[in-house]
Amino acid sequence: MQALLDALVTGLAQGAMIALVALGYSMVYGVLKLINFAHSEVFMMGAFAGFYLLNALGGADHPVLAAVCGTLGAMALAAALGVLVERIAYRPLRERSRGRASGNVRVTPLVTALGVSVLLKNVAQLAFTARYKSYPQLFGHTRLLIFVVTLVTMGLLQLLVHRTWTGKAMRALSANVEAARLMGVRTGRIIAFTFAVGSGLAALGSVLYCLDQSQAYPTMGEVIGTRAFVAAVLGGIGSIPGAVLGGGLIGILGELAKLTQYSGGQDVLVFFVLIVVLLVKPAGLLGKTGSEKV
Amino acid sequence: MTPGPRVSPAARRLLLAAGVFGPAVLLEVGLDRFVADSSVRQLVMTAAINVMIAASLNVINGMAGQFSIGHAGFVGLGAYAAAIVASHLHLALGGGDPTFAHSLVVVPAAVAAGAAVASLAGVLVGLPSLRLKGDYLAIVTLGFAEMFRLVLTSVPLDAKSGVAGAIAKLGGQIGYSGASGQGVPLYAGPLWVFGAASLIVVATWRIKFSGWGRALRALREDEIAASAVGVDPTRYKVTSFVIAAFGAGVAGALSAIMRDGIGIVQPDQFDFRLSFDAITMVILGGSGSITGAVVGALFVTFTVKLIELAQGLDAVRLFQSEHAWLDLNALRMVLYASVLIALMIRRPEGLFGEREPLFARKPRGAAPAGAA
Repeated sequence: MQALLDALVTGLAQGAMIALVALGYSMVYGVLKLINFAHSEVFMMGAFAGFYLLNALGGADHPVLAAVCGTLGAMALAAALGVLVERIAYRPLRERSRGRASGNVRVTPLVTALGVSVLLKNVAQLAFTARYKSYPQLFGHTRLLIFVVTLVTMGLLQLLVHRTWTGKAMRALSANVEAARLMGVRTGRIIAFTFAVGSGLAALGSVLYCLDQSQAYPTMGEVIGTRAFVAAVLGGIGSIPGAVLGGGLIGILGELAKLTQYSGGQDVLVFFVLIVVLLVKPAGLLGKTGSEKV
Repeated sequence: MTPGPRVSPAARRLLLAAGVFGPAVLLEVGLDRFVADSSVRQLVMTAAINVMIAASLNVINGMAGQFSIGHAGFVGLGAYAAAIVASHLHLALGGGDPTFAHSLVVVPAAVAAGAAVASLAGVLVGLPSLRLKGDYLAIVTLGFAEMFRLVLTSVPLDAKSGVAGAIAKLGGQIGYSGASGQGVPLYAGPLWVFGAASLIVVATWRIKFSGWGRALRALREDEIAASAVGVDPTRYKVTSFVIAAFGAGVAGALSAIMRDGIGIVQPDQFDFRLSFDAITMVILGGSGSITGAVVGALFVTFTVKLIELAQGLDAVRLFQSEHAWLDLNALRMVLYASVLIALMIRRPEGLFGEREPLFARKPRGAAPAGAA
């Protein structure tokens, strides 16, 4: 019983962190209808940025100051990376394919996204080597911290999307790009902003994750990234509450799987859930099913 | 237009078949004799296997315009199935050294097993994801390939009973080395490997230039328009996906039991890197072009080999011992990824686009020139 409760608490904290990463997938998909495979690598880069910043700020002496400044710095760096990726890899494709419906228009961005992901992962491998870097331990109660920070962030994000002009522009963009442009929305800027916010959230998630799990390594994006992605699809890709719900479910499910004797089967279970969801409710739990127009 | 000698269609087919499969027969006899270095033989056969992988992925990624990023999963399934069947048959036939006579039984059985298992997985993966619009196939194939690998690596090796026990017999992370643990019997000689590669290339060629291929292209260009003229999207997409899985299964099966192979199947041979290599092969050559897939496969095979050779050089080793960060394989992936991104931005159709440069469809009588 105690074990079960523990698993639920740990799962919720894990889920909150996964939700932060899932939001990045969800927002970009909502705006561009693109699976941004590079997002998981932005998450990983955020972890490394946090690692170097926390150490540079002398984490152990002023834990709170170092954590806040380090996290904000990592978020800023990740946001810059996200915008850079968008600018270099995705924008040229958009400009080229505009007004043209040639065959592989749908596959091209996916290949590019995959390419960026592989590129970033291997650059990290070269720059930071494959060795695990142990994170400075600053706090005792990281789980509670993760949980609180995530909830606050979700609230702020919900405000941003539903109560500000920028948020309205984002929603307009996701409904119809051309119409949004005609209404005076600067689509390029809004897309860059979406990438920046999503990447910043991923970095926040990665620093929190590393403070809890204490290690950073170049392939960490694969593990957490896929879980976050599944969470986004599970909750309904493009929906913010959906990402949070999906993250929570994946987190709890993963911890419950650890209680059984097949502790390594956590990710198998995650993918199994994904396939079942796609079979039963393809738009995800909170996603909207829209009919496709000709 | 130069009128060639008049040959009847039946004779032309026969000639073509001889041209395609003759080299495979010749190599069966000659490869061991002419190429003394077994690592070179291994390289050539690996190239043929990569050609199969690329040609089969080309059906779904190139012709059908879908995006599968878990091809390694199907290759892996084929490899494991074939390794199990081959090693058990080997024991049933009395063991000893693999002989050519035995290979006539073992190889078809193993390849059939690998292809069947992979195709079955193709149906299971393809049906739910190809019914949907959007990029679900990409997600699900990625998930499937990872699941395949994780199931194998994460099973507790001391499990004795049930499903876990059966999977534990496959050796987990260490890999499966035959029923007796002495290595998978390596039956598939050049005849089988090159023969299968030629068959798969010819088959995908026939698909491309048939009504089926045209239907796929129509679907890729405009799904709604295609379905309005009677092309059932789900049926065509799922079937072509299963064809791709079948080809991957054959490739995997042969890679497991290939002569001069390593005699062990490990989960890590089939990780995401293989899927990405396969995508690189298809995209580089031009998605939809069979010539492109073959050229891409050869290119990737030989760059991998070059890096392996470079890693053996003393100068490189010395440099690496001083600069521990230099991971040549990571460097290769950085290079591939950059090339892929640049290609997508500058020339998304790849090297050849959809064309078949060496085999431009000429009027009757003109023989196809050259060989890939």
